[in-house]
Amino acid sequence: MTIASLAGSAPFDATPAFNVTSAPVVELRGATKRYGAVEALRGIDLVIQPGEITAILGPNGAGKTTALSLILGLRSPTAGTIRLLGLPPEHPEARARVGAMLQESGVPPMLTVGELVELFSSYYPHSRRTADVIAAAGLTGLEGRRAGRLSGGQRQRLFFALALCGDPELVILDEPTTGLDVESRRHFWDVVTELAAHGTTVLFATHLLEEADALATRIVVINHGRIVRDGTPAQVKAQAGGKTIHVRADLDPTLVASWPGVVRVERTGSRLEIVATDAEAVLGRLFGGATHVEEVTVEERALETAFLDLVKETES
Amino acid sequence: MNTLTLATMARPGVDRPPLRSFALQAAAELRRHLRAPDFAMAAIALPLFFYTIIGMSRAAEPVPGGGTVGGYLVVVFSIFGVLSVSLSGIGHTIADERARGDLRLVRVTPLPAAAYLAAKLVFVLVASTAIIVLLGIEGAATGARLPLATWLATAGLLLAGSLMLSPIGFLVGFLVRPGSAGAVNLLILMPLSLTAGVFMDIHELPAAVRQIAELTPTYHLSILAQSMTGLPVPAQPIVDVAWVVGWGIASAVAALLIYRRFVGRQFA
Repeated sequence: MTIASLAGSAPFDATPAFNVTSAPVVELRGATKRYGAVEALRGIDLVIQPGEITAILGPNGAGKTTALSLILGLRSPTAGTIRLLGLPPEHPEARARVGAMLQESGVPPMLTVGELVELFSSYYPHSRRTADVIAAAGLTGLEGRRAGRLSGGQRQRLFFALALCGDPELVILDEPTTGLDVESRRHFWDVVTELAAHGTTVLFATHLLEEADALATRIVVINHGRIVRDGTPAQVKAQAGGKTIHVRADLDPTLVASWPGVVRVERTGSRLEIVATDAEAVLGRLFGGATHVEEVTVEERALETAFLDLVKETES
Repeated sequence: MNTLTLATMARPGVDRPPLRSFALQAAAELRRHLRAPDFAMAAIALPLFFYTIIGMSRAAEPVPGGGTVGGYLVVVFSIFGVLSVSLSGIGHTIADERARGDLRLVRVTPLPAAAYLAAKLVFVLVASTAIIVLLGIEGAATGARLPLATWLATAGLLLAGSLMLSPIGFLVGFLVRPGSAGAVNLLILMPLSLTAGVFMDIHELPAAVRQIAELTPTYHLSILAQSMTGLPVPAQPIVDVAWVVGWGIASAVAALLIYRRFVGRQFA
């Protein structure tokens, strides 16, 4: 198999400034990964096109890191096929066009930030200028500091710099903002958004819906090794349910659950908690019926609660 | 992260020649070890220190049949030194890197694994050269006189020997947990230094021990180098070279197979 036959030779004509081919950036077909008796991924199908910012969202242990490890060729799938830029993931040509920030990775602690960026840049046939990478990652002034003496947040920024230095077409980030404070996290989001604005495809894993919502154009929710939702942030949030209604009323919860727009009903004594995508319609029925209702409150659901519900819902 | 990022992201990068990565990788290997003084102390200073306390007063003493005590000590402590460089500089280093996740990060870059591992060999060669040259200077200063050509040939042989011993370091690095690398290294270093003659002349030991010693690469490397310095040892150049090279190839093949077998598990 030659590189040309794997990559496809037809140029992609949307953004002539960037060297993209007709092949999807990432392509998983029936990707399955078993570790002994544990099935970490159970047949994932995922196609990512150039220019997308995709979040893989899921709770800890959902299979996010396993999925990224397969895409990066760090592990081989038990079944299914993986293509990275149309190539097998471990192909040097694919590696030259991808930058990655992993969850558990290290560098020799005795080397400095500047030395490491320079060293990693030399691995790539074409790379960004060291000073540019250092500035973009927010490491200006820390060039001479040894990696072993960086704070947790600075370390994350160094790994981000090492992911960027090869001027990659695709950047893969596994839980990139773990250990960052709120301010650094927002700065990080800004830089990723800029990267994407300049044509870099971004794929990142996170367990924070807020992060996926802030950055991504597409959210793929994974739970128990399966894709359970795939869509725009608005779609995923809508599917997760929009509002919570608390009410004291003598109503059968199973009846309420059958109303359109209701996601879930829970009863505690005479109080009902109703999760609804269309709160207004549900309120209309509550007040329009013969039953006496009182103590009604309606609240916008926190994104995290909505996400946890989505995960819980897909467990059953 | 600042407002400059938009501009810097758009700026064109630079093309870098492929061999630069290997040169920088080798330089980084040297630099990191130079900055870790405990390593330099253990691997380079220890053989010099041993030579000083054991050999200083007796170096010029002639050995019956040819050569000097100093020549013998330079040879055996060089072998001790180059072996400990391979074990700590390659074995211990790779075990640490596996634990920390360095290798995982390098694997997602286009740097070939061979270049990464070969850079460690460059370090072994540089550190071994330093040990052999410093011991040679110390030997000459204490009365172990040799013609320059003989000295250079012996140094070259020891250096080639260090390359043949280095795959043992890769085996340790790929197989041993970082916490036990130090202990395992000692378990390898001590017997292999013994058979090189570090503690006593191997020919003074019981026949059974000698027969076991003759299976080790360090015994044959030591005998070969000793005979080059004029010492009366039962060297059989072709047999000795075959043992050293055979060990080198066998351990290199084993290290390669283990790397291939475990690359997806231990390194990822």
